[in-house]
Amino acid sequence: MEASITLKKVGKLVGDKTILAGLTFGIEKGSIVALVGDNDAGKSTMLRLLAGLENPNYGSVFLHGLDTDKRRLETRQTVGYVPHDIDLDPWLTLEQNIHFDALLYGIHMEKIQSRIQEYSQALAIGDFLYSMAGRVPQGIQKKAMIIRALAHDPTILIMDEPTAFMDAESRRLTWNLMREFHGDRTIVYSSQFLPEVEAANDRIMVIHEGSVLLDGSLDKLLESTLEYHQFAIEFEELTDELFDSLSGVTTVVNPTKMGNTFHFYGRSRKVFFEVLNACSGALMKDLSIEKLSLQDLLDSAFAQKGLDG
Amino acid sequence: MSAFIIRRWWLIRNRLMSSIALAFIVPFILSIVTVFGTKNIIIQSINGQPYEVWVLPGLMMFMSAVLITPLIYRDFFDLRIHNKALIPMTLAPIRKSTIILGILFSALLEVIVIIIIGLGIYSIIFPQAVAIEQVGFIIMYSIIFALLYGNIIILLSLFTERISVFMSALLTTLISIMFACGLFIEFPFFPNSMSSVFQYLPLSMVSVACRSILFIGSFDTFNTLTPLAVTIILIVINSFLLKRKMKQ
Repeated sequence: MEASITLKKVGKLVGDKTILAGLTFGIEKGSIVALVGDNDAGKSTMLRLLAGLENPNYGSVFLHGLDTDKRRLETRQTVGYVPHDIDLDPWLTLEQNIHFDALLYGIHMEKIQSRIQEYSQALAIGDFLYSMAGRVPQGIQKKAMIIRALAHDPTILIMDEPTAFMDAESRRLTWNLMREFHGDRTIVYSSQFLPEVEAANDRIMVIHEGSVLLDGSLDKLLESTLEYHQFAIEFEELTDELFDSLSGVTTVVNPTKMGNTFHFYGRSRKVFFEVLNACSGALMKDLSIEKLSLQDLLDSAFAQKGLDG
Repeated sequence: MSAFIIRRWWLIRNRLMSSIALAFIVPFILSIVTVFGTKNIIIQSINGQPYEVWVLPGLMMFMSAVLITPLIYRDFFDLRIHNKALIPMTLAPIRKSTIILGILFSALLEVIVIIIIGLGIYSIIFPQAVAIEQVGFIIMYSIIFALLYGNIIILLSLFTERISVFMSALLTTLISIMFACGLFIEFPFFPNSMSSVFQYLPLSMVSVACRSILFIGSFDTFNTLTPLAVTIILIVINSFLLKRKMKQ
């Protein structure tokens, strides 16, 4: 597959702090890539670098084979960027904000109008198009920002928390639109809303302290965890002695105590019976067993050490 | 450039009533508060022009400065420090100098319209002060003044990060140009050492050149071209500074 975005040893420093550390990877044309990770992991910085909003301190970013530093004007034509925070001009209407931005890209009025109509219909903001940006809810403004990013027909769409401030219906509409672009436009986005990430992506990159910790499809990332289950047993009283005793079961992984509930991970359901044996007749009130999800994978202890670590 | 002009028109249209009110109130207030009192103190210029005639170009230049300030402030300071519309502008495939010129020239168009209204109001207050053949020169030099002053305000907007610092610097600049650039008070009223410095300030040169053509009838090439050259240099500096400020 043809690479749409290529990073070669890209690093970003702020003062003495390393925000991104020598990243090298490629993103295939037409794919949807999600960046996930803790706050301050470097996701937004990476997106700003891809969008050309910031320059790396070292290394190079290539869009469709063009160096973003040396071929700045050409590469910018190919990118649409949606930042996390609302950045519309509050004294212009949503339509004027979108229209002005598209004019800067040299798009004809008729094309701008038809794209605004098409996307505003898809995202259901038609009723707000002619309202002043500063007077409409932030979720609507965010949708207008997505339309603004699409108005010059970019081949690469970079979005920082694209559905931030949106209600459930708006999130659904937004992702319906994004899925329509699958295969045509390369979409790179960050999100803290993991069910959204699990539902729509080709590839997930877990960013931790400026490095790519995990990289692959959701199935691939969860592959190592598929046989694991998350257990939670609520006791009448979970004493320290009982917790130590249960934690001592060799097949129990990452045990934690929350109130009177004993949380742990286990490779098979058999672990549960071994824990029951170790309970020594302590009174149990509730029990839950769940398969692991992306959220569990992103748990910092897992992400850094792995379940077996 | 047309995108910026369309945007400026939208900004005016979206606040039409206040724009119209501003277009009449600002020239009226500035005309009466600066000229009525002062003309009783400085009855005529050193060359014998009645004060209300002599001060007209200076008043229009000051008016252009007062009018262009909020437009520049909003785009280069307010929107920038609040991470608003300036960021997507800088992401577009256009040069930073195009952004500087686009915002500056589109603001200038709004200023020119109000300057023309201002000349109309002034001619009503002081009918003998406005000669129709001089209007073109007054507007032309007011544009040069606004371009240069606008660039100074852009520089100030891009340099400062805090509103308190910006406002202090802005007020200092406005008061300084009011007195030190020959807009309302002639240079010979100052001590020699000061006036010899003041008259070579690029903004002062604009008022000197304008009065030269209006009252002496001679085109002052040096005092006209130097402010234009400084303006071009400032546009280059501001473009570089905008690039640096946006970390691009």
